[in-house]
Amino acid sequence: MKSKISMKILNKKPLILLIPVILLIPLGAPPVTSAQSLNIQIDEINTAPDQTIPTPVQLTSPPLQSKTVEEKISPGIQNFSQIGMMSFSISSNRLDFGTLSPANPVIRNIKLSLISEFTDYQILAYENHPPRTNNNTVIPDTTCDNGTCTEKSSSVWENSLTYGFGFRCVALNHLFCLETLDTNEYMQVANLSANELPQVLIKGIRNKEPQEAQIDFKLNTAGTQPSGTYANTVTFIAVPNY
Amino acid sequence: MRTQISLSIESESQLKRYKPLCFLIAILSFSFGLLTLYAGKADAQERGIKVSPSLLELKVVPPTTVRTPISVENPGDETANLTIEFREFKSGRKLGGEIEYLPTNSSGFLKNVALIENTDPKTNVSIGPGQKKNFTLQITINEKENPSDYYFSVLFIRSDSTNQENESANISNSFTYINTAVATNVLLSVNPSERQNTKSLLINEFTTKQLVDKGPVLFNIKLQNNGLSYVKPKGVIYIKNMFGQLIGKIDLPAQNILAGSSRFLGSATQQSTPKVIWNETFLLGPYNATLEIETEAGKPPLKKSIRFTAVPLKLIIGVLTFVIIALVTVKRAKTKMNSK
Repeated sequence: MKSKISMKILNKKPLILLIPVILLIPLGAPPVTSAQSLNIQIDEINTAPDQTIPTPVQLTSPPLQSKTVEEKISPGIQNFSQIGMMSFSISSNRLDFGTLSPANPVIRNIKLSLISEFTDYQILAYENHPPRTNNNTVIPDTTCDNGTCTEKSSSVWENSLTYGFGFRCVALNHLFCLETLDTNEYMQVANLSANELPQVLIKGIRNKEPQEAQIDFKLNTAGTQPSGTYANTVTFIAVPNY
Repeated sequence: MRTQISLSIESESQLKRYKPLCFLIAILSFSFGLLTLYAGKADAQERGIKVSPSLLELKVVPPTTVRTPISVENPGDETANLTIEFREFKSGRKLGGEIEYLPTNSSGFLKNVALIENTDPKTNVSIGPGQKKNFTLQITINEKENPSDYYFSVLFIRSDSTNQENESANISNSFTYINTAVATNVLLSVNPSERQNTKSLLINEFTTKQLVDKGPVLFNIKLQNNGLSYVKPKGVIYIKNMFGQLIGKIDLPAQNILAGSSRFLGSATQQSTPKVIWNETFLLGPYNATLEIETEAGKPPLKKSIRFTAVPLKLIIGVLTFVIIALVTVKRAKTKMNSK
């Protein structure tokens, strides 16, 4: 009888002994990091080939390279180097909001796509002016539901009785939108006609693959807004880091 | 049989009655389809610009004229009308290599800069579908030019949408037109050797978490350039373990630090400043990391050392739990064997 009991206990032991093994499992797994931080790790470590130090397994991003021309190209030029290529495109150059009707918000979007092989970069944005008619009747930039959003900070805009023009950024891959991270958060577009400087909307890390973001534009008018054709132009500038 | 015939006669007469309506629906559907197709095509055209190079670094002694090529490509299937602008910039506030534009031509230097196509300076150019054009960026530096640094962007702004805005008055809909622009940044240092002081570069910050449980280890490195010319220092981090053995070496990316500014080295992340990463996963015990920054050939490098300790808590807890359970089990088994 005693031997039967001890056998039962021994049969249960492997299960008990498994607990520390389960605790140890995460140590064997690769470090939990996002894809973005993995790219960063690879970029920064340029281990010399003759080193015995462990090197990253996967190379997904090119190392920072520059073509330095040591020879003097013309008298007076001591040093000259040039780096990389940058390609920037948009899915459409026109957003049609249709015929505007009061308290009926219209949202339209475009996709931005960028390749920057050798430099990190940022995307700046500005509008020439808020949407306006030929008679200079303006739909002002939104201040969002609580009246706090500007071209530098975003805020929630979901009330159909909040009027104006605004946009939000949604990162699709490898891009970082600096603001408007939550759904229904919008911000103003930097207004060049009001002497506002272009706003930094996105920052990205050098990559040979296209990096994409979606920009949602929202337009909503009050009942008192005169009907008409409103238009403006928003410019996105892809600027490499220095 | 009669009922069947009467039914078929009835359905035929119904068909005749509804024929004009069906015809009208068909025409409307066809027109709507065509309109949708047309509108879809109008908005689906992808527009882009490809510019090379994206960064130019120049150090010159006046008088001289710099002529360097910049190529611009239109990968789309429509002609690109580009406006060319020059804008000065300074280091951005986040100190990660971002730029911040200054009010237009604040130093007055931009009058010396021109983008040349063949022999003519251009402010507007057209590039056909799939076409690549080579321009020459010309910077004239007179003998009397102040020894200073000039940082500016050459902006290629695709401006075809701006013209459409003026034409949209005849349409009842409201529109936002989208322009794209790509910048080539130029870092120009005039007479840098006269102004660069070897003591002008400082290690402002070299830190990491003092206690880590596993890798990778993130280093914050902030360099400050108090000089009057931009620099691109080379740097290395050497990592030694508790026995003094060199177990890690990280070559820092060569990144420019503008005159009179600071910069965090490494690559950008979403919320935090750029960091340099030591990609070692298993760490145990105290480590010593030494940062060495080359300032000038033949001069001693700038050095700063920090210590950090790695305690793999999960591993220790796991091992301890295993040992305790093993001991208890053996003890119980022994007790039971003895009680037999």
